Amino acid sequence: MEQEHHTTTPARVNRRTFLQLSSLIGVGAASGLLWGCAPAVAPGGAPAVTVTESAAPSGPVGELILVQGVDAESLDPYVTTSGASRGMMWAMYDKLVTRAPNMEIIPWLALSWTVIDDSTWELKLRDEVYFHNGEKFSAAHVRDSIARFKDPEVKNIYAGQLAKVLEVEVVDDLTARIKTDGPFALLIEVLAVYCEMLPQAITSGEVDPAVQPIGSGPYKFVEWTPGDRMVMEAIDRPHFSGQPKLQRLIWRPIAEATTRVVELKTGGAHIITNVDPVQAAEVEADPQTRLATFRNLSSQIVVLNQLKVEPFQDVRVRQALNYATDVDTLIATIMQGNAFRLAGPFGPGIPGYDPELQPYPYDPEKAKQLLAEAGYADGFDLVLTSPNGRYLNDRLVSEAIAGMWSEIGVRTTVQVMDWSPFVEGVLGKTHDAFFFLQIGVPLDASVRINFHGGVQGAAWQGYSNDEASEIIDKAVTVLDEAERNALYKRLGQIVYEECPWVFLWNAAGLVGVREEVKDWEPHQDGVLHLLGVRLEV
Amino acid sequence: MRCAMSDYLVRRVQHLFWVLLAVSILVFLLIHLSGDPVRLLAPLDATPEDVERIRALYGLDQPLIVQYWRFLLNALQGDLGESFRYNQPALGMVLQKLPATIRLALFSLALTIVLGIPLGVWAGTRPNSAGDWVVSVLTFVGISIPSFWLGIMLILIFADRWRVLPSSGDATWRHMILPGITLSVYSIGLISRLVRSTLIETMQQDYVRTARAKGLPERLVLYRHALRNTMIPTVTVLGLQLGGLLGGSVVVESVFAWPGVGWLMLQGIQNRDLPLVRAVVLVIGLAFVIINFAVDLIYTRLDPRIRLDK
Repeated sequence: MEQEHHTTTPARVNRRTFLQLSSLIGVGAASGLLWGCAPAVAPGGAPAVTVTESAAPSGPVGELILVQGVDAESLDPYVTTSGASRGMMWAMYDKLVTRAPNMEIIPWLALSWTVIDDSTWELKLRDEVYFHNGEKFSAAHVRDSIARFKDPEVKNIYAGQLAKVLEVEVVDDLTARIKTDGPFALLIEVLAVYCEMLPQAITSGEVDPAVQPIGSGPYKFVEWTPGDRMVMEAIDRPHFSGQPKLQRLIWRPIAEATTRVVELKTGGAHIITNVDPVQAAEVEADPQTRLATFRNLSSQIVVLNQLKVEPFQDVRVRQALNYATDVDTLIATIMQGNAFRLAGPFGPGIPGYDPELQPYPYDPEKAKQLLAEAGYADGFDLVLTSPNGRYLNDRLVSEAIAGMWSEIGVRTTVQVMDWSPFVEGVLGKTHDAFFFLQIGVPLDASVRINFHGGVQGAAWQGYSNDEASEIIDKAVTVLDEAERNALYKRLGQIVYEECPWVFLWNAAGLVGVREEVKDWEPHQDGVLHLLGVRLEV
Repeated sequence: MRCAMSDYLVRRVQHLFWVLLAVSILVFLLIHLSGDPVRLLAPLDATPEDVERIRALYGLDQPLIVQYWRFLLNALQGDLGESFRYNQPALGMVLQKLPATIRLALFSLALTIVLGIPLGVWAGTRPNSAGDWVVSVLTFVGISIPSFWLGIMLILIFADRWRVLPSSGDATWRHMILPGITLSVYSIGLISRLVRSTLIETMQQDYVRTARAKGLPERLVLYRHALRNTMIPTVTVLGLQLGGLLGGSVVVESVFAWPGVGWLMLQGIQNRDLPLVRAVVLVIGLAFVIINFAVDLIYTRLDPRIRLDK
């Protein structure tokens, strides 16, 4: 009896809490745009963010409370995987390169990176950087950190990202050469997301980072109670980034979106992630809080399974469904304006983004005509599968789309599934069509599993185009950034023309911020980057 | 009596063993039947080799019976495995979170006893009156109301509108009030209804009539005779409720960000984290058995006719 009581509203809970979980799929690696691998990048040449030696006029002040939907899974930066934990880790650890809010890659521990030959990158490192235990950062730390990143014992599920790195040669204290297995164009992209630099106290196995994190970042670890709070405090010396500007950081996980908003309004939190759009107006209306919006990198789409649904093998049918979907109305009504329309597969912030592409207009007549030309004037039956609560309004949007498609004769019914069977259907390629989120950076991984007819990867549903496959294979070996981006742009055009997906939108990320928080803006990758943020007391 | 007691304990421990064994098999099968944990663990863009590597790393490439046997052998030595997601011993994680959950459950139990029983007695002594009717409606609402919705409403009213209570976390005793109320509303409703109906029934028994006939004041009839007999079913249900409060706080803990076992359970289920889910279920199962044991002991106090040696 009591069980009945406590499970009265599972769907509702799942929807809310699932939304807060960082996705295992697609957006896990989300970030970025520019490929900082031009032969050499000038130190500090980044326009958007100042990485200067100048510290704040006074010392660090205040206690900033950041509330996200989920907690870190571990204190070990190579074990924890959620997007929420990245912000926590990056406050304590430094990476070799990082990203500005617009996703541009900027120097961090590495001041510059140069291609020496097809299989060697040379990194010049920042001097006078110290770990929290006093160790001075040097090229040996790059070597040992990468070795630990790839160590099977560590159980790093992203170890494969650096699979092409063969070895790291320590040229001198501040010069490291990374040897790769053939041209590895994505190295800097990968280093902008993965492989935080660790002191030798950790890489030697002496200290377990899951118990005692030691980084070189502007904040050092104080304590962590999983599911409750992680506390960090300012380091004693100034960090090269001009931080820390805050005395203490407190990170709390709160799964329930309403509770997060109440904490924000009552001063129990300064920054909260994943504001439910239903409460966006409430956050905006409160004089003490404001709403920061960013455009997510990942693309919300409907994937059409050509292996299972024969009509989808005809490009005209796939185009017809793009014409038959009134995306603007969906955004205006169900999404309440909290989404940015996509034309093709890639939105801004992704290397292959093409601002010239125009979205398929809503034109049911044209859609019917295309269906008729393809020999399906009488339409066909279809099941559209949607997860329940994984993505914002997933079920509602799927039901609306089913209605729109049924109007042109594609008689669509919606099947709602829990997340795990849903994923198994994607991997097993058993859904007719499904509402999904894909695309992130480094871009290679997501286009390879979606569009490569030879690889036939996890998310691939029968789409095949020789030119697309060739581009995907070639791009990872092209070290010249402009040339590589041109290739991805061409890939985006092909996919746009051939419509293996119905293109919908990039969702808006909504972050609630209290007014006393200054100099903070959201990053497109959704990670809480703290560079520059301060509290007005 | 001493001998009967020790026999009883031996039987209880055996009972415990079989219950936990059954629970472990059930949990093992249910989670395995519901899907492949590796596919949720590995990123979608992981290579097939990586997927197989992860599978082997966690021993998930073995036949189910082998996996279960390994689990059982380790479990008998107190090792419930490492959480897939957190790379930490699962049992340790559960034990770390257990005190917070027990604290909340005991607080809710106290609320249930303090509010539920008097409410039931009050209604039961004036059956079919207007007051009884009001209590009936209230308790019915308490039983029917979804705890998720109630939790949110309490937060919006007490934390957001009036700002008199904190909305999340477990830093002070004041943090316990809203989740405690949310969690206990159902049991309060249940217990008061149970006490009411049992009391009404008891009051019609012969011994109550006898007590009245011999001129005992109504208060004594009620408290010395009727209520004591009403308590037997009540204690049983309270015991079950405590188990429910321990195991069923998943929803409440997630609404109020209460860092307890329920939160851990949710994480485990969402991530298909087999060792973690198993550890939570086994610990809660163990708690249930211990509570039942305690209920049995309380019975003998309430009713000397009940013997443990049968």
